[in-house]
Amino acid sequence: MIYTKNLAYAHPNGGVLQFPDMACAAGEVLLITGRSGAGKTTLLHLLAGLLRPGSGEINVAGTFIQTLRPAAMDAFRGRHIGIIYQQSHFIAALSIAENLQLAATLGHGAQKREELQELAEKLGISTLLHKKPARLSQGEQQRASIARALMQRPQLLLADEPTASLDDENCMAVAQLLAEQAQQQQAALLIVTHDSRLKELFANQIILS
Amino acid sequence: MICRIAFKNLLHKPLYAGLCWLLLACSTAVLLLLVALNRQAKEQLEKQIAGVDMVLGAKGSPLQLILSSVYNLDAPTGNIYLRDAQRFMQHPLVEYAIPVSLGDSYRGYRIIGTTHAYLDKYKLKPAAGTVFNKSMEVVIGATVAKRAGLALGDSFAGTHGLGEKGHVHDEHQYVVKGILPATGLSLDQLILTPLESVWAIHATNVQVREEEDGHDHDEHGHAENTENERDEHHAAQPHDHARSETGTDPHGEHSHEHGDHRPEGAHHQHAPSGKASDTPGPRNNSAQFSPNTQITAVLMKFKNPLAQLQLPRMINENTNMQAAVPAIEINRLQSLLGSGTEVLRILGWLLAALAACSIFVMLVQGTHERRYELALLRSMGCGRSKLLALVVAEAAILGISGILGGFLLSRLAGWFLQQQVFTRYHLNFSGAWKVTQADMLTAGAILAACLLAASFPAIRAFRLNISKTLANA
Repeated sequence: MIYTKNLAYAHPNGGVLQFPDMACAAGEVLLITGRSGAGKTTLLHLLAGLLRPGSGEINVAGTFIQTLRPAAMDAFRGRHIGIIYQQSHFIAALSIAENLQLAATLGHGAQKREELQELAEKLGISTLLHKKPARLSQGEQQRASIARALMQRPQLLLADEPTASLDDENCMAVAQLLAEQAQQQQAALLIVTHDSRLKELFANQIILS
Repeated sequence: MICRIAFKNLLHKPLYAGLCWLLLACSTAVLLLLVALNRQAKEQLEKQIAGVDMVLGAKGSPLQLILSSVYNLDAPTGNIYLRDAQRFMQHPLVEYAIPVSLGDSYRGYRIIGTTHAYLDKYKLKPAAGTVFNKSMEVVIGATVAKRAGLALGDSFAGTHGLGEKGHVHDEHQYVVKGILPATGLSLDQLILTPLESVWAIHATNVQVREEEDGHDHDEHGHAENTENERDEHHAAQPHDHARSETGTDPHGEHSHEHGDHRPEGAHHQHAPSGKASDTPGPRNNSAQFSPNTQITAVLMKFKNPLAQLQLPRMINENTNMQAAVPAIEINRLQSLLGSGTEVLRILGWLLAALAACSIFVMLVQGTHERRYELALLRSMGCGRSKLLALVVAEAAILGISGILGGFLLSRLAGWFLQQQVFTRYHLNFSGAWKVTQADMLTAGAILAACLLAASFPAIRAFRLNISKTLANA
């Protein structure tokens, strides 16, 4: 589903980051770990098309995304890539349900009420849908942001430190939920983390240095 | 979708959005009210002078003469002798001439001594009753009837002067003979009576006042004309004892003095034959004009534009009367008022600028605080142009709702002014809901200012570096 070749990023301040080649098939999980400053977030942004690589290529669902123009990249990202951030952020003015629907609308235009309800029930947030994001707890927000990423029905799920702010119990729950959903939707799941708790869960790992 | 988010964003910060809306609505209201007032004032002023090419009156301010005799607003400049005026009333270039005599009022509504020609000018017939035919009969305007509670057959006494307070001519009771239909002109607020009523009242009145010593004689303060100082409010000289009812031989009175300037010229239209003594009704009364009979002004219409060039100059140069051209004076008045509305207009635009500034601040602050949301939208597949549209849409929603609110507010204010203030100035505004081109231009300019204020934050949203924003969150 996704693979990279000779990926490198030229930092504006001069440094060049080289990344090892990686690949992840549909329904699989790849854990990318490394110490702080190793370029974990940069790699995630490169894979999501938020940043342009200095050299090398990234192929997501058969498309070399480094060649896409900004507008096409935005549209492609909406359709194929779901991103879960360390800090869950939402459109503060919209309710959780509206936030989730927005993701679906921006991604592929479809907007099914039942789908939203089903997903919310799976993630245990169905009672929170009418609430404003600011009223949710950290764990609830994290689950909601997973729901949002899944609403896009992505082929590639990127998660940036999804468990860093969660306690052990929630951490396990969220990690399992992610893996489960990726499996169900046949999406490739890439988790960027330095959370050692996750290393025990997922075997497929790449360590950045 | 974008509009929905923009709307929700505004609702998310109700106080700030409310402030912007209020500023916008107020500035729009001020500007649109000015536009409406200007338009209405222009329409009103011009409607009123229709059919009056020149006004003949006592020397003084020409504007005052026009205001007093045509608009029934200011105090008159003084009186002129009917015999002097008649020379011009009978001029071959004059189509019609309407004498008016001011001086009294009833509950603040002016009583105007005139002839039927005054009504003919407006092509008006009483909606109820008949026109005045005898002295002390009156036809009242629609507003007078409503506000003063006068009905057909009622009688009332006039008050000397044009204010609410003054000497009441108790001994002379006017009788309401007719009520005019509403016209939207100052006519609605007038009481019309034959010239003779005014003369009759003031002939005796002045006698009384002479005995009492007329100390408050000039209290209405229009003593421009020192020549007529003593009689300026009075249509008739004190020694004109002739009551309208008591007939005297017209030719005996006048022919030796005026030659062919016969007094019936005052009723030029009604008695063109000059045989005044043969005509019945009020015209007959013109027979009793004493040589010193006075009127306040004559409204004239010319037969051709040539007279417009000749007559006013001739009168102003060769007589002790004044000729004023309404069209010129109204232009002058509008340019005088112009500076006042200019100040209000500047104030309105300042408010609009303030509103635009507050929108600018709100959006700059908003896009900064929500930069993560904007980045999020893009990471979910929302293009840059949509982010631009989102910010612009917020300004547009505020702008349009503010302008609509301001429009309603301006019409409300117009209605309120109509109720409270304008009736006193005989102004009657109509077509309040009409949207003119000037309204559209003003609204467009305000909306453009809002969008301009949004352009900087919108471009900032467009150029947002999403990777950096998301990484630093």
